[in-house]
Amino acid sequence: MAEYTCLVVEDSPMMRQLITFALSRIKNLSVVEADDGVDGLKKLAQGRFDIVITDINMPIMDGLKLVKRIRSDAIHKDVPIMIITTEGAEEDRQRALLLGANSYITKPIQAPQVISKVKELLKM
Amino acid sequence: MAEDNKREGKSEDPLNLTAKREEFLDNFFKRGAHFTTELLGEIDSLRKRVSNLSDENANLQTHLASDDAIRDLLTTIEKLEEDKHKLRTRMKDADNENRNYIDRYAVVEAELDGMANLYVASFQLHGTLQPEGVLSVLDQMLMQFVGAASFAIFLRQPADGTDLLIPVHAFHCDSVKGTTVPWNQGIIGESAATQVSHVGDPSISRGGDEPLACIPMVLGNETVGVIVIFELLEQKEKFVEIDYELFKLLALHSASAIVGAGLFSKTGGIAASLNEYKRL
Repeated sequence: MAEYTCLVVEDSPMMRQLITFALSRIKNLSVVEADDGVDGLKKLAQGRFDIVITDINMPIMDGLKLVKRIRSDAIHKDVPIMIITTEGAEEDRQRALLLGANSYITKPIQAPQVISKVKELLKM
Repeated sequence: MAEDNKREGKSEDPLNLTAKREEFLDNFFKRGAHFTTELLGEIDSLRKRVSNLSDENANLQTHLASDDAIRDLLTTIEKLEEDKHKLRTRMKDADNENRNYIDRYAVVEAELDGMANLYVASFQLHGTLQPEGVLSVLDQMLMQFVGAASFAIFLRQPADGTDLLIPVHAFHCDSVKGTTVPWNQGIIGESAATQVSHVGDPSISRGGDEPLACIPMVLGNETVGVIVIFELLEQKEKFVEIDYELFKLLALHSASAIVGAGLFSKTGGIAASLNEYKRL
């Protein structure tokens, strides 16, 4: 049984698959996928997660709103959040970090970078 | 003299003889005592010398023993130095080997990363049979995998005289909408006609209407269309190795995915498509 659980919130199936593939290389980590912010919140309510990875630009509920909601959630308010986005501007990064994200990676992603950041946030 | 006196018939005075004897004995004993004293002194001196020599001998033996110990220590040190040198050499070899493994691991990691990108891209591209789905996958590939900020997909349109390339999808480049590109004209037209990709240097040409990259989509020997990238995302400074691999994949697989999805939508679904195989 996996020791850690990660929630990946990403509207692009291609990116979800790529991120999940990268995360599969981390031992004791299982991944749950969500299509957008609302789906992410539903999945969060159903379980306990050790880390959340989310995109910013998503339909229905974007990643920044999701970060805000997670930070006000009683169970998951302290969970590490990593943003993976195409938005590379410094102000986007600052806004996400101010809202409570712990890490900010821009696309296109490099799997080793994602793996290393996740391990760092999980203190593995 | 006594003999002389005897021969001459003279007799010596007995008192005188006694005195002489006494004197002789006295001298004799005195000399004996002196000789004995001297002998005792000499014996004492010799005893001291023997004692000194014994001490000296003991000292020399101690020196000799310590010399042996030092020699043994030096031999041990020499052996240890040799061992240290061997260990250092082995450590250096192990270090080099380790560095070599780390380098190879990084290469394998990069290759695995690239293969994962290609696998996911190919999987998604052939995972849909709807034209909109194919365009959506191409859209995601270009934006999320390559890091393109503005791009368009042109498809070949047969026309009288010369073929045209018409944009069927444009992302953040409204200027291409409604335009057509004549076959074999400009960078886009030439890329389509020659079936040769054009990949520029993003550091030289960044932004504008000039194509940064043109990837012709080819099925068999026919050009189906061209993927044109105009601009990269702010954080994407240059094309990397995996981008060129993705371009190769796009050139081959996107053409078949586009044509396949087009035909599929025309035939009327999976059942109708499978009917085609009955004729075989």
